[in-house]
Amino acid sequence: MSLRRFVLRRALSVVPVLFGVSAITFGLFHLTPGDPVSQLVALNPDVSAAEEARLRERWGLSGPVWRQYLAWLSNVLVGDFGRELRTGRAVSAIVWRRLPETVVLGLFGWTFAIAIAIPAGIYAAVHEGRLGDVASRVLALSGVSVPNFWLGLVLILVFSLYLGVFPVLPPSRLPLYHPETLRYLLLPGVTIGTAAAASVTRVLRTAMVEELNEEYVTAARARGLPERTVVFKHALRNSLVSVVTLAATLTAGIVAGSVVVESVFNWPGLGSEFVQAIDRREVNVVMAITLVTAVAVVIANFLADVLYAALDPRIGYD
Amino acid sequence: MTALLEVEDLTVRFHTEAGVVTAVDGLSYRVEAGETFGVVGESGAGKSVTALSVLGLIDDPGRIEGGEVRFKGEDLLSMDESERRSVRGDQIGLVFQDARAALNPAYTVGEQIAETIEHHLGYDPSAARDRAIRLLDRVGIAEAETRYSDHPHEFSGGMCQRAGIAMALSCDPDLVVADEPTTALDVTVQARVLDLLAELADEFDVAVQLVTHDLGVIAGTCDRAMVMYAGEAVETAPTEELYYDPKHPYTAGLLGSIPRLGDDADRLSTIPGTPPDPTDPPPGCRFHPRCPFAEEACTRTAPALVDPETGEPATLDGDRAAACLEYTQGLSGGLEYSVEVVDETDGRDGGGPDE
Amino acid sequence: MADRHRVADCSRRLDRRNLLATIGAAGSAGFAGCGGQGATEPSESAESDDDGDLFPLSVRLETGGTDERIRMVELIAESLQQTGYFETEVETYEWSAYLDRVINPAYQDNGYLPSIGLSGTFNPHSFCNAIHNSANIGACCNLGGIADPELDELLDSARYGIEVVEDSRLRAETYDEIWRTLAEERYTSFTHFGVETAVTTADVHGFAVWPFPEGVLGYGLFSPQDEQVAWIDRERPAGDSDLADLTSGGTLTAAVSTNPDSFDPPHSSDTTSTVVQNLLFEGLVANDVEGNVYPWLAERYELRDVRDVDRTAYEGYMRSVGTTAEGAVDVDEQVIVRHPEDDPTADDEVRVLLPDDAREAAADGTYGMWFRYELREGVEFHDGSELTAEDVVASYGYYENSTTAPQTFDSVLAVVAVDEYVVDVYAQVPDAEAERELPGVYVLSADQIADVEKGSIDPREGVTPVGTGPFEFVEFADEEYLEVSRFDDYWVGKRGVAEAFEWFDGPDAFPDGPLVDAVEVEVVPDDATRAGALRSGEVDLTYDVASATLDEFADDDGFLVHAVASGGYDYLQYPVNVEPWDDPRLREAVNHLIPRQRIVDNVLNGWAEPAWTPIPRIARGAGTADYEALETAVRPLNEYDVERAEELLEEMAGEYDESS
Repeated sequence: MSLRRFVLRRALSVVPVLFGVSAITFGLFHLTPGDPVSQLVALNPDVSAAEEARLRERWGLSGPVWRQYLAWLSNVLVGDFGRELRTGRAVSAIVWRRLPETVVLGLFGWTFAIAIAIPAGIYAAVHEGRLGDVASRVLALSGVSVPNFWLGLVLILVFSLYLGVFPVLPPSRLPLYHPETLRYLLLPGVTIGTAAAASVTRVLRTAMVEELNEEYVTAARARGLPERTVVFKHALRNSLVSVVTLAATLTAGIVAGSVVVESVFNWPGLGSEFVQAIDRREVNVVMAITLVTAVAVVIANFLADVLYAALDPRIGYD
Repeated sequence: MTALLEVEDLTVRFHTEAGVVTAVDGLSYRVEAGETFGVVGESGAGKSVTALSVLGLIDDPGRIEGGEVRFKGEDLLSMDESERRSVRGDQIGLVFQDARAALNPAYTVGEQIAETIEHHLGYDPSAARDRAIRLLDRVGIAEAETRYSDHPHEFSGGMCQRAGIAMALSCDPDLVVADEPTTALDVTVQARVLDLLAELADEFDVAVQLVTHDLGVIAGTCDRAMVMYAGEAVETAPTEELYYDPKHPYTAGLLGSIPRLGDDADRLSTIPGTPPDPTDPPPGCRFHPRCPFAEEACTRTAPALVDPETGEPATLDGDRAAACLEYTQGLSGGLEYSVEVVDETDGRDGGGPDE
Repeated sequence: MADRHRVADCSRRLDRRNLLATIGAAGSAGFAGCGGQGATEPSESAESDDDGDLFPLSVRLETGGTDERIRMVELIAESLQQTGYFETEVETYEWSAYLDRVINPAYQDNGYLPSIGLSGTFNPHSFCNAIHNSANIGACCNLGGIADPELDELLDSARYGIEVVEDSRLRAETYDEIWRTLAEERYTSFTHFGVETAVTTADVHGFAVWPFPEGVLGYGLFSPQDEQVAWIDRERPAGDSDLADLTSGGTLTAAVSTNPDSFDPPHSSDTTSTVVQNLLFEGLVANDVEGNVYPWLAERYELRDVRDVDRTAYEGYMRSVGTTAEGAVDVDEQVIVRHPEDDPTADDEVRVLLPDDAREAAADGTYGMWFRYELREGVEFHDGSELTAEDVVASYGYYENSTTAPQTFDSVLAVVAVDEYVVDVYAQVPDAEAERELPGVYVLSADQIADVEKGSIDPREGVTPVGTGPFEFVEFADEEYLEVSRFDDYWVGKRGVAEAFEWFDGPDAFPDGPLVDAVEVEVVPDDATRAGALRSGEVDLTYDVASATLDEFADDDGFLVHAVASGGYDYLQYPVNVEPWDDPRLREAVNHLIPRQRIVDNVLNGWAEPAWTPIPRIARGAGTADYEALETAVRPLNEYDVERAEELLEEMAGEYDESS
């Protein structure tokens, strides 16, 4: 089976997963007592009962739950996540405005994680048991253990308040896609990427140590290949398989981490919106963000599967 | 004139948590250009370590602690790593026991052969590819051109080993070190691979150091052979003489344990006892706990490798050597065994020691 | 500037006025989402101790909201427990769940002790009526079921009626009577009054805070009624700066904790919205920090007539409208007055007064009060048009059926333009608070109102808000930042402050408008990040800072903490209809066990005032004739006094033994 067909088939198999995710998301918010309308009424007792019924009708909140779900889903499929309760503004606009911010931050976090973890993991594996290895393992363990809100606050404390090299707040007027944004991405990106960097370092090191003990590595050396070819071309390629498997899980971690990190760094992405939306009890916003992030995680898993298959020829495409 | 490969006084130790293991202890031997030299012994005798030491491929926690490995007169061990690398794969090829494990699963078989060719011979990619395909064809891979792009998992075990041989020969080496090249294969495939190896050694005019635990393999392919026990050479002889006139009780014991074709009894199990604990070898002759002829002197004095005729210390260019006190101070009981030729036409069959 | 302060930070204090007004306008049906929705507990009384002695008495305290309030209730529980007379337990709830739970007529039957925080105003009524008037049982926030007809009448007479309207002394004395009654009956234990705080860097000079959050920027920057002005001088640190040092220019950057919901004044009630609207819009009058009223967009105003009417007086102008099954009035227009005898939850039809009919009634001379406001000429909106009476009338109309309509039309009857610069505003009943309450709307541009859909005066809807205020809108990025700049044609600046305001008698050095060039507002929800941004100097000002952090800033020379007594108050209420809480001695004892000083010192780090009397500083202007005398009389009843408490409890225990 060709790679293209494999990708296509895996892509199709994601569809039922997405439906499941949407059903769970919807269920979580609608099986809990108090629908958005009654919450709106609680916030604003001035809404008349007639208006309440009208709102229920308009927001697809009347009738049995499955019908409500279908109504919601059909709106979601065309990109309509409903409206904010307090302001009546379209939720999709909020999501689309904030999504790129989170994507950029997440990608930066990933880039940072990879940029640190790949060299560190390789270094530790090649110097297995020596000082550099021990140091990198201690650092990686701390990286995994440190909660990112704490790390974020410490980074702000040290780099923004004590050293004064980075601002606390992101630039409000700078366009997102501007070289200078990098400066503001650094602290939140490092914060969000640290846990991933640490996990990847650990996993890569373990995998690499294992691969370096494989006979094909000795064989490659016996063929007189330079050590960097042996390590980077031969051992690394096979070690990356386990990193890719981990990456899908870590993407979920980065998405979850964005909730805290964006709040700490005031980054105007989905994560900080999520916190505020919960605070304001904006069910539609919370639901939309939950769904979007769930979809992102599903897509990340899908990409990991594809990458996994591309990296390891032993994995059949069928 | 010096031999192609001269190993002198090679000592390799492994520093493990359980203690220091002397895997190879003061080993000396030579391989002449174009000849096939067998190294035989039980597992743990130090054969494979010797093979890897020749290429300087001993990894932590192992260390080559002494001796010289002279290839064409130059000591490989005192070269720097990059000089050594230019010898490896180019002038000395290595064939592994588990050929599939020796291939990187992520790259195609052909790529890995071509990679070596590009690296050592400076071929451009397409020329390297052509040469690799020719080699694959030469080692008997059908449809070599298509098979070039197969990954190792798509090859059978025998095909992997053929590819391994092709790879070892890819840069026209002078020496191929083959480390138990047939052990992992089906019995039926073993013979064919050995035949191929012999045929190619002849054709390419390449010397082979063939490492095996199977005396039968030696008989069919080698010009001379060395028997190792617990990291030391106990006997060196031209193959014929080794078979018909073994000078060391251990060699004699091995001959008694050669399996017949189709005999699936545990190989080498007929010598009673087990090889010594490598961290704590017995004093005196290392073989004495298992030797039916051992005497009190054997437990105290370690026998030197000598010419069994003269009792003089063995030299690199001597053809016969054995390490038994019988040849230096004599054993009171002597060595009472003889070789009985069962079937002269089948060199693989040998006799056992008499009762 | 108006005294609207719907303190809408839901997580901290309930907007008492908003909820209260709803009761008046829409009946209890409006609470379908809160109280009506069956949070009814099984009425097992926590203290029913059938077989044993009265003591130890099981007491369940319930609360929700901020950590500080929870810690306060725990402290009170601990204090009760220590006497040995009580077995206490503290139950805490998420804030909105807690509101759902307690704003329920059946809640009082549980016999629990609820604790809640509200926000009052300059109006002394806001500190007594909401929590004691029997009309507010099951509403906000008579949680204990207090139904004392004499008190109800007293409460009513302090605010409504010709007598108190015409005689402010009588009004103050009536309130004094209320405070004394409350102190003696102890239906409620007030614990403390809040302070409004803000922190600035030392670059900000002359700053001061307003008692309500909406004024935190606008008031500090320019308020001639209190001779208040702030400026930025980054060269030398603020401290004892005075007007001689003032410099003009610079941008003040403020960090706020929430995004403004809307720039449309009547269609939003969250704190940040009111804060930013306060920079752009102005009202007919302004208040000083003590609640005194000063003419602002109106050059002068006068009370022309008071008539002794109640709401039934409008009966002849009312029309009957249907009600819905859910008990709401089924009409599209704003209901100005609903007939007090009709109940939309019970009746199929109710009589209501609609805006057109209200104007007719006013024209016929049926009204409670008649105020006349004479507008200044030549006041310019940000779009260059001139303020006229038409704008004022349109603005009141724009408040109809808005989020803030309930609190506007609980007093306003009708607004009529007399000529281009004269507006008459009528009140429904004689109301002593009318002078402050009636003009409590922002004056918007009639042109803008005509152009937009209701509720969409907001840059997110493509509409640039237009007001007469000292700052004009520049730029807004949703959930990120807002920028406003000083309005060059600001009417006060064009005339000069002394010329503009007859009442102004401040120094000559007082500027003719705000000194900063621009104000930038950054939305920073995370508390630690907001404090960090202030610390790093990226912002000049923030508010909504936790009391522990306030202490840190107060100790740092680089920052100034500004505080003023606010309208916030916390209280604990007793289920007065449930045994044994119907015994005043028990309430008196518990009240003596509330460690008010320790609550303020230890829980709130000193950023509050102990409630020795039920009336805070800001409401003392109209709410007491002689505060000193009141405090002397009332404070001993609210002191922490374990001895007295135990004496009372012992007495009760003795009686209980006799009777059983």
